[in-house]
Amino acid sequence: MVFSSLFFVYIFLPLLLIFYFAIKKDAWRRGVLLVFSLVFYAWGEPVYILLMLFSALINYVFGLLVGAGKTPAARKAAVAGGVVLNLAMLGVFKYAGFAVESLNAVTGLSIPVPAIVLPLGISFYTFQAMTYVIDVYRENCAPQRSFPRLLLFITFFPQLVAGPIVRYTDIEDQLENRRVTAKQINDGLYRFAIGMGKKVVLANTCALAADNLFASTAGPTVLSSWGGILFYAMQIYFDFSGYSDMAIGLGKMFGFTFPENFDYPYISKNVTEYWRRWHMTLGGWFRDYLFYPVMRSKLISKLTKALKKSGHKTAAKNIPTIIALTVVWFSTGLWHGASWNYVLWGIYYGAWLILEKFVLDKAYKRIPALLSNIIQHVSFIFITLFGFAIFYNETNLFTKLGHFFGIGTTGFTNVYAESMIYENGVLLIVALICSTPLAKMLMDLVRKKLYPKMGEETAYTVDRLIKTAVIFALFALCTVRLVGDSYNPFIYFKF
Amino acid sequence: MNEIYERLNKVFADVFDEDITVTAETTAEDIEDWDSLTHITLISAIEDEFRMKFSMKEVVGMNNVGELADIVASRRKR
Repeated sequence: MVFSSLFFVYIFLPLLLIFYFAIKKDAWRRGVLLVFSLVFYAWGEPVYILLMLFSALINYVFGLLVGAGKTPAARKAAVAGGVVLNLAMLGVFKYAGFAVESLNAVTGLSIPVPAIVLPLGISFYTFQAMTYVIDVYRENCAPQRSFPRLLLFITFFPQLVAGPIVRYTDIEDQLENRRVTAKQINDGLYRFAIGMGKKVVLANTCALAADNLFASTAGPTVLSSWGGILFYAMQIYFDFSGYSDMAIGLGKMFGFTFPENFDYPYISKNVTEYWRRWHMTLGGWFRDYLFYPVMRSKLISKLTKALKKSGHKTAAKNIPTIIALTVVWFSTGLWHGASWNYVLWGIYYGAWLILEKFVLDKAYKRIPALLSNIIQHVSFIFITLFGFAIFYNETNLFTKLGHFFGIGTTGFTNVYAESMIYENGVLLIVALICSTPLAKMLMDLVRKKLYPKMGEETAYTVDRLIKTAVIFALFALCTVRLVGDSYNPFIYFKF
Repeated sequence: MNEIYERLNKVFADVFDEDITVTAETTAEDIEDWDSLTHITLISAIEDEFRMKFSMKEVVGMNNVGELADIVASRRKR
């Protein structure tokens, strides 16, 4: 079931809200959330729901085992067991086919490739569940003794399928104590409506423009490649950040505060900043649960000491970071999908981050600030677009990448590409503006300038009225559009 | 405690390649190059200097140099 569908918006969500608020007892309310979450998942995955329940059960048991461990060694063994089992599950259901295919390609063997359909949301819920066990080990939280509560954390539908990656510690207290006010429901609906608008109005339209440019019957050109990927960049941002907005909004309606996932990534100056603004919960996850452990591993600290001893001071400081970043970005790429283009995409970003950290940042400091800003912003745009080109093309990657530089194209441009971009010019401008904080800045300005003059109570009412008007307008607009198309999948559902 | 801060200054200067004087209130915001990547290099350098270990919870959770120095003071071996 997707959030941006008529069934979800007009049947599932209202039913859930009615049941939830008709019941007063908190334990029963959690029960309602759990049942609706399971129905939500089973709607698309009637069989694999068993796998998710199994995963929750394993992590529940390992959480308790880690908590019960008397010695550091026992705790370590328990957390290692939990992590291995989670990764094994992910390995079988997400990577088995890919691994066998790659092996066949390298060795020339023809081992039959297992045909396993990717269970919905497995990358997200496995990471969340595994994080819980690690957090118990690190004493960031106590083990959850109630299975239904842990199950609700893992299966809670707003964040189940495509993030944000919510950690158990984020919502540990909220599982016990939630207060939902009318204001929160209004805020939640507003956030949901914004997300739905991003998805249904902007992402779906940009998707059409991107597909048309890539699939041009007049043959590929340099212009259609860059234009297509520009629309794809808009599509994926509104698709994914829209999904996160909807998830955060839904959480709010039921008293949960989820972490933010996007912070206007496209206004970034460089790749380092971009990864602090794009899919923030994933970046934070890899930092805390992979980068730090690798950096603190015995192997790395031995290497650092050896380098220091032999007098390579700078290398001792930099080489460990470079190794750890390579591991992290290889994994980030692979996490996105079982295909080499994602791995390449991850390494591409890892390489840029290393380059910025150790070379470019220092170089940019030597030239005038204005000039350095312009160079960085412009190069960032091309780096990001080319990154998406790697990300987008699961098949024929190198042929497709060649088109960006005029290799194998029918020319720099043709009438079809030009008219396609011309026709979608207004859409592109609107999308570009909406991807910046401009609207937010305007709203903040209104709040700062006008509201103080109104008095607190009037300002509050006006604020609510504006938000409610936006909710109704966006719901109406999205409904009209959704009645038209029956199919609008989210990009991140396949990860 | 003063002695700890003096030695911390040396470690910071070494890791960030510039003269830095830290106080209890210094945070990552105050030092330009102190990001999540350098943070861990810094932690390892401090561990070497004082012959002690931070737990992962402390590595992720410390908010300023003051908290860091308190942990060092309570656990250092030299």
